[in-house]
Parts: sequence; structure tokens; C-alpha cells
Amino acid sequence: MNDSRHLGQLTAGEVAAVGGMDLPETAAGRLREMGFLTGASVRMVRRAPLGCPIEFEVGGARLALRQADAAQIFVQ
Amino acid sequence: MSDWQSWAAPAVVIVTVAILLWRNLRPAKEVGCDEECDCGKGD
Amino acid sequence: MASDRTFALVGNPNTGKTTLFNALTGLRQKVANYPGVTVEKKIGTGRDRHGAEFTVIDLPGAYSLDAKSPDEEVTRAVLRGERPDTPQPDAVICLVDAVNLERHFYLTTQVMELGLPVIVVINKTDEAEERGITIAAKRLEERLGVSVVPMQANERVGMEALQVALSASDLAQPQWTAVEDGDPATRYTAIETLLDGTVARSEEDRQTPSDKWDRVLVHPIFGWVVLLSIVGGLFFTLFSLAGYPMDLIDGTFGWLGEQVEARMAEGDLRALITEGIIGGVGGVVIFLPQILILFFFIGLMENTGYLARVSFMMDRLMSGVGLNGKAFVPVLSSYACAIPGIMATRTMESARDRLITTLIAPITSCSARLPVYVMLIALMLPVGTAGQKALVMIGLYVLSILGVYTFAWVFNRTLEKSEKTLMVLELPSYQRPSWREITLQMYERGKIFLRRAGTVILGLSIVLWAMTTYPKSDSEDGSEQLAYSAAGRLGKTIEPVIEPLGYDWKMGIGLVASFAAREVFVSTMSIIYLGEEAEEDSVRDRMAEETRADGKPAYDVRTCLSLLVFYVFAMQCLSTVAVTRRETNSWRWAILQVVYLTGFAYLAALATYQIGGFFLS
Repeated sequence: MNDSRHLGQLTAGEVAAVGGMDLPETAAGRLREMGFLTGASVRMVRRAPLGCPIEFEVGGARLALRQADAAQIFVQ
Repeated sequence: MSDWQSWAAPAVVIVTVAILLWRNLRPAKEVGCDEECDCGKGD
Repeated sequence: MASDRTFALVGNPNTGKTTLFNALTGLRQKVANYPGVTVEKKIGTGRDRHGAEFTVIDLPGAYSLDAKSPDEEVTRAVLRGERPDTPQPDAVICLVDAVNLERHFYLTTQVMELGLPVIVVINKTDEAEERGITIAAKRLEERLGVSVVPMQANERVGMEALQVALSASDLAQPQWTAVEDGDPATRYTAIETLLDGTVARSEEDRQTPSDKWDRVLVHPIFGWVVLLSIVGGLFFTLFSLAGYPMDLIDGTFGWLGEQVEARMAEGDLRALITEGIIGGVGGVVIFLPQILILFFFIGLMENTGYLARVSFMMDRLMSGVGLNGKAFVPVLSSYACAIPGIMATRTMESARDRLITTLIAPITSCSARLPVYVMLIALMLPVGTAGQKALVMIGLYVLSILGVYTFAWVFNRTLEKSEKTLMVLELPSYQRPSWREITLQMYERGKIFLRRAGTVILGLSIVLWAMTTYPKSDSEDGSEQLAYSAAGRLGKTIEPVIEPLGYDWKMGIGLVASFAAREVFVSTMSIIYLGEEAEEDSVRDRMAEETRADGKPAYDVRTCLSLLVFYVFAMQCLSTVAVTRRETNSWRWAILQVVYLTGFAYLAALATYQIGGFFLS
């Protein structure tokens, strides 16, 4: 899956659909519960002033993830 | 110097130490409440 | 507390659950801890329309009953009646956010599968309206078979309807087919079906009012300007404006002492009351203004939603040492006083993060250290300029910041990681602040501070007084009396241990006494050198004259620096130890705090004195 884009690569305003996740089950489960379902539409809102974390809009809520974690969520 | 004070003061100190020890050394895992709680479960 | 029914209040974090809880219970609430975990337990009572009393448990915010944090575990356990300390509630009030119905129904549908009656409250209707979202609550009500109450909790809109729903003699169980599959996708599909046709969204511009605020507040430049201004404003208020009420309190306690002195004959008990009790407790209560100010700022930031932005911006700086952005405010607060700082860690989800933050909080140079710093710096630089003194002061603060980061890093390495640290920070939309909520919170927290610090400090002040009074010598001289007492003997006993740090036994007494509370240092020095309480300037002058056996000044630059470094790190506040003990629910961490901090303080002071020897004397 190295050629797949991941959430950490989105630019401000870009919208993408959630694909697979390369994270431990608890973390992946938590993300899915919060709205990062497979196929769900995610919009990258902004990066924090220091570059990390990244604010996403998903399922109507604004959730921020760290670059390292976002990099493990792939895009369809 | 007031004589009664000379034993009253130490008495207060001893009682205080006793209370401090009792409050902090009794098992913390009580049912319902912790230290400064008075959530109505009786105390 | 006799009451007819118990309702549990559940919902996602940041939903305004606390606001609703406050609306239902007013001032009739208690805060405690669930035994065995560092999770806050909030219970209150209210009255329904029949005048009957009911109990409300504000359960910790949860995103799902598939618990991933101690908070969520408690919520699940209480709802299922699995906690021996808390009986299963009779019904559940599920709070959902109108703007984000689907996500919030994740937890709600799980709750509906527990077999308990449910009342659904759809909160933030005002915001939904602003965003062009309409919800057909009645239709949802029909589908679920339970009361669905739209509300705007912070303005108490919809309270009437909620009261009606609460007062119903038979509370309905929801009509809902359980989702067997553990996969979130399945549940969300079921939710979609449930909500189909009940939520209408207008296809407007996605730029919400919150976004407009965020463009400035999280801006790479303005964001920092705002943050620094707020932090600056906070510290300015804490260290200068707070002085007025603090002086008032100081005066009141002084007056109280005078009254006692006037009405009681001279004697031990009178001394116990004036010096031990009034002096000791006064020393704690004097911090109340700062505590209240702190909680005001925190409350304001949290209530408006700005706090999440602070965590958002600061996360990068904290993740390097294993903390996350949410630790910023507790640590910052600890610069005023570690007690509210440690209390503020309750906003952090990870128990491990909370623990680390609690352990490093006392390294921050809290305001109690200020009188000590001021006195020692003046002794150290008797003819120094204000600039030089300020430089030393800043140096001490920098040292404490370094200490915070270093020990955070150390603890992060040594304490075992229970779970992979995934951080999901929710940024709620901005809200107009509810002054009522903020004030209520200030009141509750202030109460806890007074009770916490008050009871512990009261006891310890009495003990400390006893240690500096007994055994009694025949001498009339205060300083000789002190030397004869238990505290004095302790000072003499530890003298060989503290000598390499440049201290003598008199300073030893000061150190011992300060272990209860740092600010005691000044008054203790006063008694040691002048035999009685006196003005700070005269104490300092007397201390400056003090010489060692070889005639050299006792308080030379080396010793003063060594003392300062010691005070930066040493754990000298039994109130904080008590709070740590309570927040972590065990003695282990509280004792660890004292040991590691004081041990390190010793080594640091030792190094300072010895290395200073090469450069100075």
C-alpha cells in the first residue's frame, strides 16, 4: 500500500474518502467510531501552526489527528 | 501563663495527629466515596 | 439522600453535558472520585414537576461503550450496574448534539441496547439553526418510542419539556433492535436508517461562524499573538491584580489573630490558635483568589471551545516528550499553583498522560515559591540592580521549564505504555461563553480547593506548630526555644547531610518547616533569626549579617544559589501531595513525587554549591 495516498498528504480543503487503516485494532476502532468509516468523506481543514496535528472534518465534526497517525489512514 | 492551656494545646495536637493518621491511612477503596466527598452515602 | 429515581446523564465529551447537569441540579451537586480509578464522579439532585426529588449522575463523556479509556470504562460499568459503589440508574438521559446527530447516536444506540428507559435530549438547537439544520424531533420520538427533547442547555431553552419527560411516571424503553455486529460501519448504517428523513440540511457554504474565528485564532501568526496575550493576561492578573484580594485576606486573618490575642490569656493554646491554626490556614486561604482566577480563565477557554484550540496549537511542543497538547493548560496553571493544575488534568483522557502531568506539575515554580525567591535573591545580590535580580528570577523559571520537560521525558520512558497513544482531539464549534456556567464551576472548584487544602493544611499547621514549640525550653528567647524544639533538633540532625549544600542547621530548620508549605520559609526564618515574627526586610537584614564559624557570611552567593535551586525542585507542599494522593487514588505516586523531587533537589543543590565553589569563593 505504499503508493496509496494517506490523510497526512491531503492539502487544505481537499476532500477524500477513507480507505484502509494500518493501525492497531483499538486505535482503528476508535477512529471508526468517531466517523472515519471506510468510504466516509473526509476534508482536510488546516494544519496546526507548528505543522502538527491536522484538523479534519468528518461526519460533521472537527477532529484533529497527528501526522504520524494520519499517515496510517489511507485514501481510496 | 495559663496553666490549663499548657495541657489543652498538646491535647489538641494529639487529637489532630490522630485524625490525620486515621483519615489518610484507612483503606482508600471505600464503597462510594473518597476523601472529601459527601455525596450523601453517609459518613 | 432519599430520592425517587436516579438518572444517568451520558453523551460525548464537549456536548454541553455539564451544562445540562448544572441546569438540572443547580448548586446541589457533589464531586468525588470513583474508588480505584482517577475518574471524577459527579452526582446531583433535582426536583421534578411533582416535587419529587431525583438524582442525576453525570457520567464521564464517552464516544462509545466499547470503552477505550478509564472514563469510558466507568460510564459503561455504571450503566450496566457493574460498579459496586454505584447502583444501576433507573433511566438514562442521552445527550446528543444537533449538529452532529449521526456521530452522537453511536453512543446513544449502544445505550438503548442496555434495557433501560431512555430520554433523548438534542442539544445545541441554536447552532443547528444557524447552520441550516432542522431535526424532526417528533418523528424521531415516534420511531424510538421515547421522549426526544430538543434543547439549548446553556440558555435553559427546552428545560420545561425535559422536566415533563423526567416526571413521567412510567419511562419508556426505546424501540430499537440491537446491532449485533461489533463493526462500527454496521451500527452507522443502522443509525442512518433510524435518522432517515428526520434530519434536513441546507446545502449552504460550509464556512461556519466557528471557521471564521478559527482563521484568526489558529492563524500561524495571530494565533500565537492571541495565545500569548491570554497567557500574559492570566499571569498579570495572577501576580499583580490578585494582590488586592490577597492583601484583604491577609488582613482579615491578621485581624482574627489579634482578636484571639485580645480575648485569651497568653498561653500555649492561644499560641496554637494564632500561630498554628490561624496562621496556617490563612496561609492557604490567601491563595484562593489565584485559584479562582485560574479556574475562571480555564473555564472561559473551555466554555467557549477555545481550550481545544490551545491544545491543537501546543500539541507539537508537548508530543516530543510524550505529553499531548491537553497537558499544556494543567502545566501552565501549575505556575500559579499545582493544586488546580493537577485538578485540571481531569480533562485529559489518557490516565497515563494524567499521571505524568500530575507528577511533573510540582516542578513548575508555583507562586508560593515567590516569597522565597524574592528573599533569597535579595540576600544573594544585596547591591544588585533590579535587572540583575529579574535575570536570576527568569533563570529560575527557565530552570523549572527545563525540569518539566526533562522529567516528562523520563517518566514517559520509564512508565509502561498501556496502549498505543492515538490522539484524537475534537474541536467543538465556538460558543458564546455562559457566565453562569463558568461561575458555577469556579465556585465548585474553589470549594474543593478550600476543603482539600484547608483540612490537610489545618492538620499540618498544628503539627508543625507543635514541632516548633515542643519540647519547651526554659528560655524566653524565641530563637533558643526554636533550637530546643523538635524542629530545631531535626535541623541540627540533618546538618551534616545538608552541609555539602552549603547549609547550616538554622537553614535546616527552615527547610524542614517549608516541607509543609514553601511560604512558611519566610516566617520560620523570622522566628529563627529574630525570635519572633517580623517584617521581611528586618529578617533579611539579620540574615545578611549571619556568619559561619569561619566568619564568612552564611548567606553568600553560593549558598543562596544552592538554596534557590533546591526550592525550584523540592516537593514542599503537603497540600499538593494530598491532592496527588486523591487524584491518583493511591499513596504510591504521591510518595514517589516527594522522593524523586526532593532527591533531585538535593543533588541539584549539591551540584550548584560544589560547582559554584570553583567559580566563586
